[in-house]
Amino acid sequence: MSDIWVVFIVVLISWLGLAGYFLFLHNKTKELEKTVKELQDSIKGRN
Amino acid sequence: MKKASSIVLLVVSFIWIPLIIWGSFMYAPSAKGLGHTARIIFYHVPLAWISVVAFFISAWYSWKVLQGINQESQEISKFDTFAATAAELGLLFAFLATVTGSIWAKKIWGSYWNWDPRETSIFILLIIYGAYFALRTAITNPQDKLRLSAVYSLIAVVTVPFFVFIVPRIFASLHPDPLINEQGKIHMDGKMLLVFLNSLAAFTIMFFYIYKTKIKIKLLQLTISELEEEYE
Repeated sequence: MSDIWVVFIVVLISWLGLAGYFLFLHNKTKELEKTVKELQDSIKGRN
Repeated sequence: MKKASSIVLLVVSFIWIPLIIWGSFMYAPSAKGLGHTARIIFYHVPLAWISVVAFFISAWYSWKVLQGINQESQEISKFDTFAATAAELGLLFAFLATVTGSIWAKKIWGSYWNWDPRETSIFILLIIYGAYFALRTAITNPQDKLRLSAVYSLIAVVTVPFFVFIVPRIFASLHPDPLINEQGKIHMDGKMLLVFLNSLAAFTIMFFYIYKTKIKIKLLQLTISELEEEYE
């Protein structure tokens, strides 16, 4: 396999990694937003 | 608004970037003299560009921290988060630019590291911004941390144009000429330029998305710890 194909595959894998990272950030944000809401509701309920 | 940013993200991630990858290998021709190795420009230059943008953003928010510190503004810890996150991403992208440049150097110059002026200047820049985080970790007093890291970031940013734009032009280097040459013109094949400009734009959007989301995560974590304290 020529070098250019190796580089092409490496770039494609990097892109998949990047897309995965985007997904991770997105899910983490959603998860934290949910926790904030739950805590706010708990505080409201207690008061 | 949230939906629009999600659509932009989907388009960039799953349509634009794959098209750029395809274009960089299949559409853009190889360059005279450098052959296929010239294709690194589509990744290496945007990475370096983003790191410069990020370091300037960090300096801007550091300036805002210093402006607000005497007025005891509540916003300053937010600005500090903005500055630190930008510096963090700047350092990451500078590191990635170094790695991609190093791979290119191995192919063209025969060695991963040659202490070429470009390599030396980015190495110093990595140390300067690495020290920024060492400083932040070392200071325990929150007020001192805000003030000192803001001052450091403002001093550090002065070195960015010097190391990125001036040093490589003062000393003789084997590194290919900058994109905009000494006559202020761009000498690049039309197809290459098209892919390159698209890559630059997509990487910039990608950077701002990551930056925005990382800030959001940090601020949410801060809110959670405040709410947990209030709950207890």
